Amino acid sequence: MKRKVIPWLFLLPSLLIFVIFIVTPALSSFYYSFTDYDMLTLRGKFVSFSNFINLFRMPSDFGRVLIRTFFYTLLVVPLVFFMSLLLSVITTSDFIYGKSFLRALFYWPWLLSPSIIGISWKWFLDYDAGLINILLLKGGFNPISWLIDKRLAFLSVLLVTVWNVAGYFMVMFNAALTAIPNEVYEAAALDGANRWTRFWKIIFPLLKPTSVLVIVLSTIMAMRSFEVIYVFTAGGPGTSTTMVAQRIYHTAFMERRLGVASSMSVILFVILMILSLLQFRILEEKQ
Amino acid sequence: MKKRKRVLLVILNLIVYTFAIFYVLPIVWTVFSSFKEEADLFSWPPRLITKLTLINYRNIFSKTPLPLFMRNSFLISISATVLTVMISVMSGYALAKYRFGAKGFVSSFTLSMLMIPLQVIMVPIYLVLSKIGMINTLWGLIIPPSATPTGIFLAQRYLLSALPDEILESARIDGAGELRIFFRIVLPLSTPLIAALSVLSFTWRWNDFLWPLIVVGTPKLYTIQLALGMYAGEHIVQWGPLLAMTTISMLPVLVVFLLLQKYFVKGITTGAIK
Amino acid sequence: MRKALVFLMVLVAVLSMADVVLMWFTDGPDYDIMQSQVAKFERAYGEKVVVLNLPYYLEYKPKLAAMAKAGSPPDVARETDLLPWLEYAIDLKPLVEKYAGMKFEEWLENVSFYKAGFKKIYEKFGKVVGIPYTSDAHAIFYNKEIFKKAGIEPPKDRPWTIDEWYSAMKKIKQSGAARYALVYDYSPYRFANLLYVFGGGIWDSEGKNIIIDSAESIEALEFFVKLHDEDLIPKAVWLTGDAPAKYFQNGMAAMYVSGTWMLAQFKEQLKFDWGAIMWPYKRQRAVMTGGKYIVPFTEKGAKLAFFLTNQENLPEFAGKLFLVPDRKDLSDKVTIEDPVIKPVYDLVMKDLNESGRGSLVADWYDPDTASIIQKNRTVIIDAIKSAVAKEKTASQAFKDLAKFLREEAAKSR
Repeated sequence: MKRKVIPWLFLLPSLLIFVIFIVTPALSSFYYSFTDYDMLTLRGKFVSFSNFINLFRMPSDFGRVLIRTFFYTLLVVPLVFFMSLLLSVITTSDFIYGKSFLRALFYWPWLLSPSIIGISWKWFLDYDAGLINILLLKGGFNPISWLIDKRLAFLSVLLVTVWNVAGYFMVMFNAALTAIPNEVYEAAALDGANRWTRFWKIIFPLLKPTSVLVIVLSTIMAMRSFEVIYVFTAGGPGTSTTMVAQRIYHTAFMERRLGVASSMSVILFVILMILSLLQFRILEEKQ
Repeated sequence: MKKRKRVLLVILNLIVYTFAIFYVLPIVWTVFSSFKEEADLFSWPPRLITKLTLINYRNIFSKTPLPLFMRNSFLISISATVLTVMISVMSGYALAKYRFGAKGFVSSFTLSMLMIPLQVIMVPIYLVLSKIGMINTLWGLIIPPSATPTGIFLAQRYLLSALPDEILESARIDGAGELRIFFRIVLPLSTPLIAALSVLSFTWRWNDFLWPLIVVGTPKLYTIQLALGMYAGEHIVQWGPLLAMTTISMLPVLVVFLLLQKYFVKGITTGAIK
Repeated sequence: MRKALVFLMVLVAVLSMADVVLMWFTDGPDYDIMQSQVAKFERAYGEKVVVLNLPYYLEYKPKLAAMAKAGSPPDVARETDLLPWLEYAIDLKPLVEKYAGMKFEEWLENVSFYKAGFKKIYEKFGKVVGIPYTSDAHAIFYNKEIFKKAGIEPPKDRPWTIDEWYSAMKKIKQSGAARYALVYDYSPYRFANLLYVFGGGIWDSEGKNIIIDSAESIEALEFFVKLHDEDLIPKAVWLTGDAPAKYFQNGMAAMYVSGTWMLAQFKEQLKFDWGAIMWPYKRQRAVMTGGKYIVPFTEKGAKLAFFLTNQENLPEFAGKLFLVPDRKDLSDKVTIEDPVIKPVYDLVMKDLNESGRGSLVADWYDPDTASIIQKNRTVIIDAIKSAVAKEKTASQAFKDLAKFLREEAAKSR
């Protein structure tokens, strides 16, 4: 009996906080998703499922934003994966000097607030005052319209997202790489294969638990991307870098449609829940 | 042969360091720009090298009570971090080392907290906080955000692999109570985890904008992130002070990370390798 | 122990707060002058005022809404909207005579002169919510040095036609006098002014029909898209939300479509010779006005609000920031001594007095029609952006928008 109560006592503080400060408000938000509540007056009437039905009608374009977010996630996850792996290999390699300095350097972007990242990159890629375009101009080239061209803007957003989080996952790979016993490396060296194949054939499979974790976490992150992109491109040009979270935010605050925004949140919540439960099932099977 | 190897080594390091420089260039450019005069920020044609000045820094120090904002941010970040560490280790411990029926449910429940967009529930959150009387208090800034799914998740994974069951069992055989075990055995064995949680939590709280905005109702409680936002008006963005404030606000988290870096790496990753 | 003490101290300080709370957002160099007037209030009435200066992000209004909903609003707030606060704000009608020293009807006419929407709200709801504070007029600024280099002289006593304006822009670009000819504020409100001078609008001026898909409105958008296509306007402003003012401030753009709220900042920052032109027009002349209110939620707050808008403080505040005071009886009390600002201010006032307002009231103030537009600002911006970004043609963008707005209007009826 006693042993059954104890874990709950340990869990009590966190569960209490979650229930009071997140679940309770979220439940009212769930109720709002069936109403046409106004963000400011908090007034409205029950409309049953019509928010959910309307979401996939023009010109709210929610379906398009959703597809774009999936596409973006599909690109972000492998890019983050290989970037963080590369950074990790660099910062654990025997051939590189000043590894802990480099590690801090690569981790730096993860320590910055979204607004700082957005402001810095917007500044860096600014068409007229950004460093890259200034350098191009000085070198006699034409400046590049980073955030003005739709495709380039999307690429820039990808780049910034990867840049922002790669350091965080690098650290995860680092420990996994350093934990691999020396004998494995030595045995691999005896095989006579070159470094490249040795890495992919022998070392990489040993990283699987970490790899799956990186994939799960980066998927959640990508699907929820909001603040950085919001400050960075404001979802533009046009709506070409607007993701689901930003659409929710705008619907709630600019259009003041709290009801509609709440139903968008419910949809995002369900999608994320399904995705991560699926991924965790895969993770558990692999172990 | 040896000479060739050394040349290769130098080239490799050169490449890596060039890459590293480009990696942090956007931040460095921001820091550098914060020392320019407003008029030089957007001169046309653009100039790379301009007069450097401290005017933006002098402005933010003279026009805002920056030390007060800093103190608030530190006070909130540090207290919330202490709380986050305790709460996360406790919950992580329960999930890692006890068997009970609803464990899977609690894990999924905790994870699902990651998936609720806080902005959308901002107004209901405010209403809840005000019913409890937490609006406009330090408690309101510290307590609600101190339970985090990521923290609990990290603690659970760390304790699963770094804390052998045998130690707990032998302590129980010796007759130690559960609380005593937690404080005398679990916490001391979790130093790397605590370091990792501290860095993460400090970073989150320091950079947080939304919770302070919801809770704060008096200038006495302003944090640095709120102050950062004040340079963007309805029509006018003041770039010079904004960049200077940005630069100042990123220093503390960098210092905390550098101080705890060694433990941090260990804490965040134990359990990921098993 | 010390930390606990600090906690306690702050807690006590916060709990003992019976002060007047003024929620404010800064918009340029207005903070210092507001502070000094608040200090005057404190001395005159022996009350303590706490200024809650918050960022004007999207969350400013929701924060205010949450405070009001929880029954603990600030005593008074600076705001750009009135409608959301209808039920929370204190009814000022019975207080007007006491604090403003004027008969109510006289006061209402007086403060509604530049904000026609204010009276409309009173007539519809029978409640006086908020006090008109300051107004601004949309204005187009230009860099005299660039104009000179390009060999252009704007007419002094009449506005350009749209065609003349366009060829001036072409000339600036071709002469290489500036990187861009024009920079245009990223705001549906600012864009609407272009709609009106083309003879279009979102609603017609009576608020009966949506006319955003009329030939005139579409022509205005096509013109706007053309300016972007020909690189006369920097695309980054409308497509990525880049701050527009910097382009003008640093001589990168020759003209800037913005408003009189910029004057105070320009006076400090512009290092070149500059002026304003009247609004160019195609079918009718139009200059929009807009501005801030000050919304009291309690009688304490009303006292402060009336104090800030009295005959001494309002002209001072408006004069220092070069804004239009929202009291007709005080408009000649504003003295502007600055030799650079004065001619600009006078020219804008002349333009304002000679022009109409297009569908200003129907589109943005009449509660029956404007709420549809307020609620769908993003949809409107997205429609304009989609045309500028070439995702849709101008006519398709506005036809879709019109269809959507008509459905919304039908729903709310």
